[in-house]
Amino acid sequence: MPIYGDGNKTEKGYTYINRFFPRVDARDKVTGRAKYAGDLDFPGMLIGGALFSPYAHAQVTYINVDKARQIPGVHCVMTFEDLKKEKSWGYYTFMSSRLRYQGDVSAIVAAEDWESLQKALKSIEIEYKELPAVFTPEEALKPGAPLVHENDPECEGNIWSHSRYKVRKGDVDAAFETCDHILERVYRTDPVEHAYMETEAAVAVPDTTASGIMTVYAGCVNPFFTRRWVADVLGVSRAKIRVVQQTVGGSFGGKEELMGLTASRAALLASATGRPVKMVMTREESIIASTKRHPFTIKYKLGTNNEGKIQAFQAEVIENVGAFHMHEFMNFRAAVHAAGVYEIPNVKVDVYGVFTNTVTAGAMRGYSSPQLIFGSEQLYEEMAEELGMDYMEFKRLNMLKQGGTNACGQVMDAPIILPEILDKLFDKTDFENKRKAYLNQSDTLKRKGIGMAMFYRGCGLGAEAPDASAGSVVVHDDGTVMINSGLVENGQGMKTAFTQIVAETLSIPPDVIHFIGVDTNTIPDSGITAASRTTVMGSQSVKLAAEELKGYLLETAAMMFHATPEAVELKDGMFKLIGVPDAVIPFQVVANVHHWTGQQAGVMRWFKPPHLDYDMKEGFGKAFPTYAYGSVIAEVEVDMQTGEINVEKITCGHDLGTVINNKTVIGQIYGGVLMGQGYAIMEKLLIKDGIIRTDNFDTYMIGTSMDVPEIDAVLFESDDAAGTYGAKSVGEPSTEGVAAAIISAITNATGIRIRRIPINKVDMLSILHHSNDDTVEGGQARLKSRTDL
Amino acid sequence: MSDFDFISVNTIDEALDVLARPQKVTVLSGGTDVMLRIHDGRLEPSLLLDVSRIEELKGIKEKDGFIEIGAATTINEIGASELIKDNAYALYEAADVFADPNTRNRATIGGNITNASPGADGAPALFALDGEVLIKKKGGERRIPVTDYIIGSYKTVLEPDELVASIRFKPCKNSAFIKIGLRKAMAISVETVAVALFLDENKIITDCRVAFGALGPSTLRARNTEKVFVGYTPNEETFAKAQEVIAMDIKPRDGLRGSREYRFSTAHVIMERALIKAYEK
Repeated sequence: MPIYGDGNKTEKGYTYINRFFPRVDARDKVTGRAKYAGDLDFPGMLIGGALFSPYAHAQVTYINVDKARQIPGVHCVMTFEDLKKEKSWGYYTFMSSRLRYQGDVSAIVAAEDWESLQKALKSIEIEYKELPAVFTPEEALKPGAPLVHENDPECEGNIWSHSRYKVRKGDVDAAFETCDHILERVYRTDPVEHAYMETEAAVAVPDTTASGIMTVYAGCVNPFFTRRWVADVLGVSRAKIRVVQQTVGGSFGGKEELMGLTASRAALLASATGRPVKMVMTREESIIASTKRHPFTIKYKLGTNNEGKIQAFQAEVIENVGAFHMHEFMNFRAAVHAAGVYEIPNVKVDVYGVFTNTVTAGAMRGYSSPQLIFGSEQLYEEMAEELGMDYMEFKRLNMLKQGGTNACGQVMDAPIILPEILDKLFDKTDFENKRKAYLNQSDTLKRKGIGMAMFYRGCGLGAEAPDASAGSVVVHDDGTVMINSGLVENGQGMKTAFTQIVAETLSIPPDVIHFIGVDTNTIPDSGITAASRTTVMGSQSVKLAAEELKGYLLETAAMMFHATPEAVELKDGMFKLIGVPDAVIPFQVVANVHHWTGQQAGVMRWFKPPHLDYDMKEGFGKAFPTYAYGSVIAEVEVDMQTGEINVEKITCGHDLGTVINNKTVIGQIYGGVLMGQGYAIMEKLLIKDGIIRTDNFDTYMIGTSMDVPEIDAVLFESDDAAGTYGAKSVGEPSTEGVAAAIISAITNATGIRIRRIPINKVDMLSILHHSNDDTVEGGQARLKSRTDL
Repeated sequence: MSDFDFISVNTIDEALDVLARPQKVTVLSGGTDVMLRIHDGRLEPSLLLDVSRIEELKGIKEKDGFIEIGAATTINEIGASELIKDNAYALYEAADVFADPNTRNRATIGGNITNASPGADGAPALFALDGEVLIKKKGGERRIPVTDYIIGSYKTVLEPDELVASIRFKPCKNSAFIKIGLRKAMAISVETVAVALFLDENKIITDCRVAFGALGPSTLRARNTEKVFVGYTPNEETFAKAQEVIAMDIKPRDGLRGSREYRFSTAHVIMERALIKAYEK
């Protein structure tokens, strides 16, 4: 398989994609000129703030805001009593007297400045009655447990009914009867924070004219969803809300729920005061009230025959979704991917979410895969060990191959380049020799380890939702081109990728192309910018629009050449009469004539991928149009006396299909590796009785530049027609296997199996010390060999 | 944040005049702790006295057989000093792993010991080096050991009208510092150790000082443990003996960054490593 950068750069024959082009937003960002929502200022603008719950679960028994309203500079104090309805379309409450987690809000304030705002929030007289609470699914599922939502038709006790998804293939019960080996294990993951640099920020600007349109400028990642939140709280139509996306300081899947709530609360205050209101979450507010990566408890049962062929895979995936939730569709993805990239004849997966009085869970880079790959890859290593087999032999024996069927019975008809990826990475890292050598380090205080994970990811939304989007391309009379999309730049590089794709489609230099960015009044709702769908699927509509526009421009050029459109081509910004060397007209000249002769100068197109035949109810069928494959090799050193884990090197290979911009891809991968490392060995979110104790970056440990390991990213390309120009996803694949590989390497170094992440060095030492202790909590440590220190 | 007054002065005398006022004054040096305490509401100052422009409070020099560091000398200035590197390697190493470069450009050594955070990285090195603090007030001054200066978590013996002017210590050719943090930079310490050794011509230890940071409410000297090494070298025997007595010196606590168990079981590990590093310098 071709590897990008191995001298095959022009193999695919593209001019403007499949190569580096500087990010179109880089200059503004590095010079500090980019405008984030928090940077905006409007005449008469007020500052908004919210009163968050001091308890994990409480009822407000008394509230009086008279004193707060008297504070000089305070313009508006609103409480849950002032709302027409508390609950939003997205289940969360805008404000409420019943506070179901620490991120719930009972009152909001708008004031002239930050100081009077803080005084007002402190002056609100409020009394609470603490309510019995549940914090873990174990507690929440006990008979008689306090209910997070009573009388809710969407709940069975604390289980969220809508969140139940499954996969069924074959008959696991019958298959387990005939298995020679059966292994049951429980793996757990804890929540982690997105840690975007910019916190949630919005400015709501009311319009006092008859049209009454509320404009919201926000660092939102799904402007059409933000519009939905704001329209809902104000009780007005979509047409009365205009959301303009400002530069976003990071998303990683987050900034949906708290962003929508922040924009809504700012809009409420703007509506009440008739003045613009800016609301910016502090870091502490952002951490306590924003969603986290779903904590999973995964109960596995795995059966093989004596030869090591997996016969049956069963998993029950229980998510702690916190107090509110709007991501039931994640569980479709989780169900499909739970068994990993293996061919297994009998599969049964059940996924469901449980409400608790703790921080809410939401989309985060990987959308269930980082948890599932961690669990299943260690499970397969454990099974191999049980069988007395080398785990790579076991994994290769059961690996999914082209023409085979995955866990939900989808026939894998596209190429699966995983064997090539593994061969290349193993060769680069000397994986097999190191792995065997590292098994004999019993005398060393600092032990080396090497480990791996392999995985695949369904590209785009798949059968989860229609992966449809709008894109438009407009040519101006001076030959500049403006593109727009219903999907957005979240920092992932989509504006640059789309610019390159339109340049390639039209065959004009990218520097005449301008991407305007989302204003919900200019383009149809194209759903969420998520699921690594944007370049792969979302750019299809822009490509279609560019192709159509190109047709019109060719007609104009043909008219100028006195030829037929078929006789004309557009190449590198020049219209040419095919076969006539000197017959050339520059793009901008044709564009000018195009305008003044009244030809169609703009096209908006809609793209919806072919229907997928997937049965959501039975959990079987074609789940995704295509899959991206990848593997990560981690090399670590563990200090057996202090528990320090040093990730020395990450080598990873990803199936990119077609690389659109190699440096953007590398950037995604480097960031993904650092996030994956944090998920394995650093990012402990400490929550005590529902209250987050690590609410800023002095206590919540994300990696610094000093923590970045050496990273070697190998970009594989393949032939697969599903994505735009054959592109596949990388934003999420770049992070999803990293934690699994690091944990695998730690096991190679120490001989100890780690069944819960994240851990840090304190946990690591505790695991090392207690690994011979049968009473270790939660199955955390495994009771095996070589732990005499 | 409440309203407060702000005064910036250029001389020690001016600062002492302000401190002599009856009003409660908070001294601002680098501000890397004061600003955080104001941010999270632990501190509501009425008057901030900025001493960061006082040239007399800055610089590192040799004087009367001591190394003397002005209280408003920044951590990065300490980390860049050859004098410190040659004569107080433990302090040099502490400066090297202290927070991050931005913080090190602001934070000062006087602020580090006066804030008296249990996790202060400068304090253990000064404890091990037997540092002395020069304290001034209008019309007077006193000099006390740094080990008597810090008396608890965020507590010192500094009176409201006093200002820390400088810290001094005797040069030491064999010292070392080790920090355990939860990441490789910008980490508040889980625990730290500083060791200062004096050796005779046969490389036998004649004086040994061991200080721990972040283990308890304040920086501490492990006075029982350090005695074990006097007259010996760092070796298996002395380490085993030290491990027996270390419990007399340290009473680690549970915290957000580390458990009591973790701190206790790693304290002697990093102490041994620091002893070897200091000894072999």
